[in-house]
Amino acid sequence: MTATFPSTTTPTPRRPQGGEGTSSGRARSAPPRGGLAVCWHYLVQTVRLTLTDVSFVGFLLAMPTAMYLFFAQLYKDEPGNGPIIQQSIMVMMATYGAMGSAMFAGNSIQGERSTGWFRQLMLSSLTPARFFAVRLLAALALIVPPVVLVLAVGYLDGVRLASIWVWLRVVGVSLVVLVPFVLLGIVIALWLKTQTASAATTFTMLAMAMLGGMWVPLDQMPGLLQSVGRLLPSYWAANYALLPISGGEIQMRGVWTLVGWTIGLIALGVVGYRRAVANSKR
Amino acid sequence: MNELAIEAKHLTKRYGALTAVDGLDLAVPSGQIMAFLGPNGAGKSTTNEMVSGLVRPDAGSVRVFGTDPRTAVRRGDVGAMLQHGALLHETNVRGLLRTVHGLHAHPLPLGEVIERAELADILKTPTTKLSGGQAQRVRFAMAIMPDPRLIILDEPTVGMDVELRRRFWAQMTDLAADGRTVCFATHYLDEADEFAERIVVIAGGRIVADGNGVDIKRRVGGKHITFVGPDADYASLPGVTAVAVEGGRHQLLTSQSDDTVRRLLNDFPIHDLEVTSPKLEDAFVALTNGDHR
Repeated sequence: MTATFPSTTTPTPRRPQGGEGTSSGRARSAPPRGGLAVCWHYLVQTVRLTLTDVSFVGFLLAMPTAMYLFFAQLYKDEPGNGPIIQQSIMVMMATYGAMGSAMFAGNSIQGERSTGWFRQLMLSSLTPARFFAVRLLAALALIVPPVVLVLAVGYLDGVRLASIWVWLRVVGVSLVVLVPFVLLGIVIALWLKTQTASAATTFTMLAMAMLGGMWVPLDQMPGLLQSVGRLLPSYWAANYALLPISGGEIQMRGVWTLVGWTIGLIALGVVGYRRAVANSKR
Repeated sequence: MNELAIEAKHLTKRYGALTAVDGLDLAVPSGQIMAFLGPNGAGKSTTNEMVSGLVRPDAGSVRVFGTDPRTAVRRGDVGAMLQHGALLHETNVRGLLRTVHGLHAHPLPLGEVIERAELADILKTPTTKLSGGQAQRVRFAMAIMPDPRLIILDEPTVGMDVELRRRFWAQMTDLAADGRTVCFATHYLDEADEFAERIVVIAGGRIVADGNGVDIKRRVGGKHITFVGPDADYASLPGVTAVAVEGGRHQLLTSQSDDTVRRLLNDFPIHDLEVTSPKLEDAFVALTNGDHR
């Protein structure tokens, strides 16, 4: 049955007619906000909300800091290589916190999708593509706070690196080597259901940290676990984050491992994104 | 000459075996206040979701201000209040409003949104601690935030008490006075009649009636009269819109029950008379199955 509105409709008396009253609301003075401004606003708000999230602050800022303080007190007074161990622990814990932060931030899109907030966002100027791009950038930005916090606590605790540039290089290297973990968080969020996704994120994070030698150095582990560890991005992320301090050579095997994981995760992410957008009611 | 706010042509959406919206044709001129009236599961929400670009139709098309719904939404031309729409967790009302405000192309000033949705006293309340009515006010705020030309409201007054409902519609009428188009779904005939200039009755994903409140009320808002009596031309009695016989009882649907009953008792030897208000659902079913025009 069709229902086209009769053209001879009479306006009802209760309806106040505003001025010429045809189509739009008030006249607008400011030009409309563009896509970039919308994305920037969403980026800032996402980072702000994450930094005030209790579980983020507790597990990914407070815990690595506490672990640094605990382990550093055990080893830093060891004669001879005490300071080196203390520096290594500082960088390990910073990298561990940043890894968790990257995964947590990537995974947080799951919450948006399961609560239906994503639908609400789609009633704004955000598009699915802009949403995912912003969340990716936000997750990258959220690598920085745990690194900076643990390094700052380390400094206050008496860690001294050769120069300001070494400190900055530690931060810079972390940003680059932790990219795969942002992608890992997003891939888990895209492919798994809500309840499983957060458990899988925590499990993956702990496994990555442990097997990648972030808590116990890899060379103190059995041979089989060592070879598994060398296949993981976490081992190489920690390895490279230590380079500014240890001054060693970059092993190309690590570069290929990190690049391989990044490409694999991007592929999984793209497929998962298409699948999620096609399946969901947005 | 009047631009169409919504133009749906043979709009169809299926979920598995269920056809939620079934070849719906609808044209809503800009500036109109229109109500979608129908029982639960009639297809009101799905239609609203397609108009606001959240759901893609399986067949047919819908255009909003002459463009596709998603483009219209991105331009800030559409504001929608979703049924059970999600709120952002882990923040308070102010944080939620700030987040959403910056996502629109040309939003209403935040102060005006807070004032219109009456949120000033709950700005610091965490979004998880809102009452049903407060949450509806926040959803309403999000719907008007883009300063939209088309406002879509899906059962907006669910969870509101009588007083809040009254203020809500006063606010809505005020917003519509600027020439905005308002399209709201409800299953309350009175609400549709009071606030809409046009009522589209929808059942089973199809439009079963379309007209102003008086017309629709005559057809779905009448009384149901049943009695035992001889066969006669009851259809010509005043107000009667439908007649039937079931289980030996005559059944009339009337828009003027007093007049109908007076004439029935005066002119016909009937007994066991009962007058009831049919449930709106029954009226919809009658409209869907029969032709009472």
